[in-house]
Amino acid sequence: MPRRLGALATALAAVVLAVMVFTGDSSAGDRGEALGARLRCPVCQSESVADSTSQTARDIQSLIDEQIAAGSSDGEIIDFFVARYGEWIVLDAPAKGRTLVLWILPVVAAGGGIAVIASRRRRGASAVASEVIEEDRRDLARQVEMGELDDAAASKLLSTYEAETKAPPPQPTSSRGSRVAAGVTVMAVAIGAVGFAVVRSSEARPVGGLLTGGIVDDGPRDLSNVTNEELEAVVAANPEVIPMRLALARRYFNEGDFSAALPHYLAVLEKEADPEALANVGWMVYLNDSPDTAAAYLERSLDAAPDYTQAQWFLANVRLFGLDDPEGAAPLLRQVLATNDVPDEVRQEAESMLAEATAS
Amino acid sequence: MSRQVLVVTIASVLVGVVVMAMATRFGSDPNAVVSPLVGTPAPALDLPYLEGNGSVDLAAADGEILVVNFWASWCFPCRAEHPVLLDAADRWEDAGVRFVGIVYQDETDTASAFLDEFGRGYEAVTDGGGRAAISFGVFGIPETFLIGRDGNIAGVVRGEIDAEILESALQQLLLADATAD
Repeated sequence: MPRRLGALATALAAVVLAVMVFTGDSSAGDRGEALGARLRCPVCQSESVADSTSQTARDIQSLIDEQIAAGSSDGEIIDFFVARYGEWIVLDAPAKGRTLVLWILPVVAAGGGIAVIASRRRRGASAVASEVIEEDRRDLARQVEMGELDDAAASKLLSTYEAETKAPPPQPTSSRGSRVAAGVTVMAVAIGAVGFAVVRSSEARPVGGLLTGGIVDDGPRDLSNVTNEELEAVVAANPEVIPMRLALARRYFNEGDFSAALPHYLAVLEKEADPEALANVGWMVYLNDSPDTAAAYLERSLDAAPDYTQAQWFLANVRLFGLDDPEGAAPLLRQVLATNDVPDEVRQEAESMLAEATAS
Repeated sequence: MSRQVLVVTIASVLVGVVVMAMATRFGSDPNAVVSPLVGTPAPALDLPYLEGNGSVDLAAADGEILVVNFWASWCFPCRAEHPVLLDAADRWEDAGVRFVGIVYQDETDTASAFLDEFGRGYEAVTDGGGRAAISFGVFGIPETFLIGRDGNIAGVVRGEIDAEILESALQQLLLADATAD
């Protein structure tokens, strides 16, 4: 019996699939209209291009007709629209990827439903049958006891009754079954509604959800391949973006073009106390023969970032050579020398400066 | 009876779980239609000016950053976003960003009247037969496409554009562009 049921379910699934696959619009007389019927109207609610009277649908339909006249195949025309609107534009969900579920689920549900109904009927019928047989057995036993029947006749009659009750007429669904079904439905709807509401209300919408595309914030970028002029244009157009301005200022600073670097660093310092800007402005000020102001900038830089080696190194120089303060310079030089990634020439110079500072 | 209650409970919980799983929409927003055009070359279109003679050849704009906005006089969000676009077009002009407005399903005189009322600041072109809108896969206006200097569509903003989104998108495009070669 279960094998027959399985076969029935499979056959039904096959029929359903065949109907779903072959009831396309390929029979429609006009090829353009048939193609329009396969495409979703982009500005409508669940309407095909062929069915919609919107301007957009008419534009698409006329483009389809043009492409047919130009000799495009159905596949090429569908692909043309898919390339612009995505798979969404095709009304039939493709039987692949995520939408494969849409094709499989009805078949599974139909098969499961048939199996449940059949098993319930079988179980109900066999319960009734065994009850009837049991009653017959009791009647026959009573008749034998009262001497109305002999054992042989009774057992013959019993096997006749058994044979008759093996194929009972179908029984109506029990009221208990419908109560269970009703209960399941009501509770499922209630839980589903609550669950749906909870999930919908707790779900955060993505930030900038309207923007789709390759523009994403993926952190700082490598600016090494950009010319100064390009970077200037970018900075001019984005005066508020500090990392770009810092990159440009650093470039000028490293090139020794202090007059170009200074305005950018000062613009950064108007926005925030950036340690690099403070340190490099301090150094430029020192080279401009203002050691006191330079020291003030460099101290502010170290206030903002105490472990910033460049500021330690600059301030040590300013204190030792500009302010004649070897005692103030020595601890900074020790900090510089304790840092791992100091370039060799700076290390050698720092060592000789420390020797000089501690000797005096 | 207790078996019935058990069956009802289990079945209900199962159905509830399935519904909740469906409600998560599997992490995707069905309203956010992703354009397959992102990352592909922008359509090469030659579109006539709304006002006056001549045309704008989007293909010839290669090398500029393009902001292509589809709009119409009958579109209310277009009215709201027009000042944002005018302001951005003015501020980003020096950085090599060119704005082009494509009039979508509208009459020439009503579109011009719209510009009389809300202001002109960048090129406005027409889209005969809706071919430009179809080429860009426009669903409904307003829609704004960002095209990088490489001529590829870098992003799409569907619906009314927000000054912050536009600003940040353009900044990132310029940065990406500045670091490209």
